[in-house]
Amino acid sequence: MLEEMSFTGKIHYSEDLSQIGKSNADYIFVDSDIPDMKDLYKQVRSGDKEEWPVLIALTHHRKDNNLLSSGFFKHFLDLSQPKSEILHSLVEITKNNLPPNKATVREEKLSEREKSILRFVALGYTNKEIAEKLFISMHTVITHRKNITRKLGIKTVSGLTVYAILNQLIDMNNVG
Amino acid sequence: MINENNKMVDLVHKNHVLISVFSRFGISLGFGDKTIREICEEKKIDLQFFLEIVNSFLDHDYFPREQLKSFPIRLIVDYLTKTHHEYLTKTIPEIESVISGREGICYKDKEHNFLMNTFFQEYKDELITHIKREDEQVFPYALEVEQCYLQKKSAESLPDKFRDYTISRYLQEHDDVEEKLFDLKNIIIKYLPPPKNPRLCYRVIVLLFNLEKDMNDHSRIEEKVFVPKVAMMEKVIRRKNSRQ
Repeated sequence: MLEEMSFTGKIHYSEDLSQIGKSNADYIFVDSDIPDMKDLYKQVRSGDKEEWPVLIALTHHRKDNNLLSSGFFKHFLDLSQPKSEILHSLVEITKNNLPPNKATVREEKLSEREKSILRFVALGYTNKEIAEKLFISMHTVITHRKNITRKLGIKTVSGLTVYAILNQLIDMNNVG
Repeated sequence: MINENNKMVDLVHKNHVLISVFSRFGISLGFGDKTIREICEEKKIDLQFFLEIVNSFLDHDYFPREQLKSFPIRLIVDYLTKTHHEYLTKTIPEIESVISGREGICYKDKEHNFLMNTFFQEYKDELITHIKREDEQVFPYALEVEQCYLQKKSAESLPDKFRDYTISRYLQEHDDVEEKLFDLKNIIIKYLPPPKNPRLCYRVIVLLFNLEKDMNDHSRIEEKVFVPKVAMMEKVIRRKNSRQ
């Protein structure tokens, strides 16, 4: 996904911010030190642009709690981290925030995690049992299941079971 | 919008799937150039009710309408029951005949035919349970409630087995039988392999799409017309309870 991203422009906060309103960027990285986020936010969220572009704060401190609580930013990127960490965070942020038109093309493939959850669902495990087996929260399991349904277009457990069998995620004999 | 002076044949040309709606009213093909009013008079069908059902079938924006709620529950239940009967005796067996392999096999691999058939059987069982519950419990309850209501009696006069039932329970239990149908379609279209007999598979898909569309309309009548009407009458007769 990162390879498909391209740089669209740079602007200083003292310049004409209305340019941002007109830009077609999906992600906007903002230095968290700028004096007045309100104007910038207004420009970015003008019209019906409720979710896009995603605003990401650039900081040099570990998890600055004030950043996200202000409500302007959805994510932050800590530039004091080693480069590999910054890249990893960037990948996570963009993976979880795919622009709508690109999302439909990208998202039919199940991740490894989603495949293993699907396996458990097809074998008859409850959400609670799956959470315990994988050491994750039930909330996470449910989120994964919603994503699986959305990607595959399959809603019921029986349907998911058939899909799992057809894709050799489980054996028909295990199901009964 | 269709009115009583339209010819029945024009209705069919608007949407041929309506033919199955006709059969629920006892109207068969071969009606010549007769108008809707003429045929309804002949067959003793409530004209206004027929028009409401047909118009809401043709145009989803026409629906729901206050008029539909003004009809006696008996008419609505009768229509819903006839629809159920059609599902059980015609629609489902027709799909089953193709999916079970009686008219030829769809897929080269035995396992794939088995999967498709098994999944359909599960759906069929769920649908039958759902229909039985409505025919044997919910609809009789609604008719009793209407009797009470019309005779200005209180809920106390309901038969014992219905005394504690409420229509809201029906709504809660109105499980999404359609989800399985939706999944079955997608599995055949997307995830099962290319069929050995594509023509047969195509027939299955067409039958499933038709059933899904019909069931959506059916559910909408149940949820948007039947339930609110029963709920309204329920409220009145139960209010009489607390007054006493």
